[in-house]
Amino acid sequence: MVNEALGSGWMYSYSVAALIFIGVYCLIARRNMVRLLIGLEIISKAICLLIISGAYPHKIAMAQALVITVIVIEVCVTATGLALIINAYRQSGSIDIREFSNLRG
Amino acid sequence: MFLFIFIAVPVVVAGFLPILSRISRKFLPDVLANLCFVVLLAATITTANLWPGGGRFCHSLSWFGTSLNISPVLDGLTLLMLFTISIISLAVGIFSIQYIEKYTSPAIYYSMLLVLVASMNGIVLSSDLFTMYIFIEAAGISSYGLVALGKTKQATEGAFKYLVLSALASSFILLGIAGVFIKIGTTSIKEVASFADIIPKISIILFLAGFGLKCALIPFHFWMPDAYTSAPAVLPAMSSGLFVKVAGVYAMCRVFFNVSGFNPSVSSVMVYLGVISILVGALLALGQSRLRRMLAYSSISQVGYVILAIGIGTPLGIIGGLLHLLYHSIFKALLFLNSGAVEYATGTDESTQLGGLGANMPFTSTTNIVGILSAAGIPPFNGFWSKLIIVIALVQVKMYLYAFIAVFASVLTLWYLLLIQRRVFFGKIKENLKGIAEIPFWMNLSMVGLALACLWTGLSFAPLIMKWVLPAANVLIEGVRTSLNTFIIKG
Amino acid sequence: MDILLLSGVMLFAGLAVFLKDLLKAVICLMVSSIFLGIIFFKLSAPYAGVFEISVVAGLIMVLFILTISLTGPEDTVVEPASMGIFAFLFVIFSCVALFKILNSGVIHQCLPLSSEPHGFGEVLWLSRTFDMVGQISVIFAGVFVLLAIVKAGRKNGK
Repeated sequence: MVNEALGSGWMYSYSVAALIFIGVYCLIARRNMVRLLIGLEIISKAICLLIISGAYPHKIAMAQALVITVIVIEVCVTATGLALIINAYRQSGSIDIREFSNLRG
Repeated sequence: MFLFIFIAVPVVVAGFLPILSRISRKFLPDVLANLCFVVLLAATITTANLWPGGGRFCHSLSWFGTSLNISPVLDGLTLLMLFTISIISLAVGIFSIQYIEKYTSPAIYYSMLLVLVASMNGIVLSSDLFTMYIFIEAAGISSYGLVALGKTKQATEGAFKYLVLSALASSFILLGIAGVFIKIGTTSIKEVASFADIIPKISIILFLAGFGLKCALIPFHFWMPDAYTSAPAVLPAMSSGLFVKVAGVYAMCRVFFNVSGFNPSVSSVMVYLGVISILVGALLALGQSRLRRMLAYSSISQVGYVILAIGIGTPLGIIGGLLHLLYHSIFKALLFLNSGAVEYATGTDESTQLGGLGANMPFTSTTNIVGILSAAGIPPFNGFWSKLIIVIALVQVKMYLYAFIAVFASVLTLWYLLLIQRRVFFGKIKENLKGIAEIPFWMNLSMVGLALACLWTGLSFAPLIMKWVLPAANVLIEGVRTSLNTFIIKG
Repeated sequence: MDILLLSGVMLFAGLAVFLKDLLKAVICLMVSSIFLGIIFFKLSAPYAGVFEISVVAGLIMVLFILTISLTGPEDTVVEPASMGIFAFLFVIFSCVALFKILNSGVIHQCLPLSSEPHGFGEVLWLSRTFDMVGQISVIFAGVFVLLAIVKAGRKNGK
């Protein structure tokens, strides 16, 4: 565990928690579609940091395999989201998520 | 080798389809994709016949003598899910032969559908939490693409909202898996199950939130109405009929019964969420006038039944829940495909603009009635038996209020579904709809097939339970028993 | 040294949420990724570090910049004064989180895991081969979905 090895494990835990808080806040409080994807990116960064810092130094090889897979998945999801944003912009000229509320109900 | 074909065959066919579509745009993709689904259904039935009836069956692949570490695992619950997936995907595949022409080229659509089916097979066949997560993501990405095929502004909006909420759910699930990995050092289901008492509590909460978002329990249901309303009708049929069950209910059962222990707090949370979903879903469906939106809320309500029944934890409850899972897939897919047929013929699914279609579209009208009666739980259709078992299970554990709520919501279901049926199919035909013809042959065939399946599974529910549902229920009951033993030994 | 890197990641991530200009926000995200990659190198995870820097700080940022150039760089959406609320909530959250972490020890001793006898390559290809199949499915799904969405956009818009 990072705790034993580096003596500063609490910092890594706090960073993970803070990054998740920042990411979730971005998802809740921002309206631009691109910023919602930025929020998802920040949450993924937090998870990668958690996996690698938590598994150091015992299981670092398997942690790297997991993180590489998570990054590949993240690329595909982000690419899909960006393609949808480009389409939304072409269809209606705006990327404000609140303007798309006519389906609410 | 045999189990791996459930994942490999759809992916390989999906890979070849765009290339083959250069040769023949429509005929070859249709034939190949539907042939693939038929092969999967045949493989499921063969596996069920060869299977000894209990225990786990693990298949390791080997490539030229050295063993690859690909080992799909099969047990009773997996077999039930494979059966559900293959039936519904075959029905949707046949339906979309003529339906999807309006939306996009068949090759791309069938490729996405095949990857979706392959990923769902991967979810149920995997023996490792992280592999399950990867396949959940793959299936999710295909779903976003299928929603966006609607091409209108609302379809893109629905797809984006669905993407953001579903990616958030996946992050929760991944956080839970990371927590388990850090504490225990492995993500394989068997090994984590042997260390079940040191799974961090935060992981359990994250799993509940993540899987709850995936199966659209209240209060995590916000993506479902928006995503289903403007997508092509095949997507809600696949998603609500299959993906919600596989990535939500199946994954939840796997984690809460076989991995962590089934403790009373998890049970009570599942029961509460289930009951609230049943009530709120049924009440919200009452005020809807758009066909697909109402069916989306109805789905939320029916998935609540499944979670409530499985959350009780008694053998009868688990059998009822799994049976309702299978039956709900069949009748809900039928209802969604019906709404797609109405939209194909008339161009809208807003029920205030429709009326009197029953004369011109007899097949659609009849199959819709079959679907409604199944959904509301009227004998001899299939919904009656599963709801009866759930209510008996509730009475058995003396939860009389919840049993009453279950029956009451069933009556509400009948009411709002019949209301829509009356508005759309009966009554006087509107002026602009006079010339509507019946839908094409393949769409008809698929819907009639599903309606007959509703009737047949209703009439022969006992052999169905014995062959498919009982082994699945045994797997989950095993989990309950193990955790009870641990509890007794410790305490 | 670790504190600097970690606070760099957090600071630039926070900046990415609040800067009005989308392009600058994305560049802040990119800098945050580079810091994270350096942290991975320090934790003796070189493959993860390389992947993080090349894929996240490279490929994803290129995609973002492509999208921003197609939809307009300014965040024209007007927000209320949310930075004050955020700072307030963040301070409360930090106090609670630090209290819980330093006190109870959210970090417990891991199981006595034997260190792995294999290196990274063997773990990736030998023990997690099923994950490779999963990744192939994800990549196929992404490619087909992108094809479908691009075709849909082309038929509609142009």
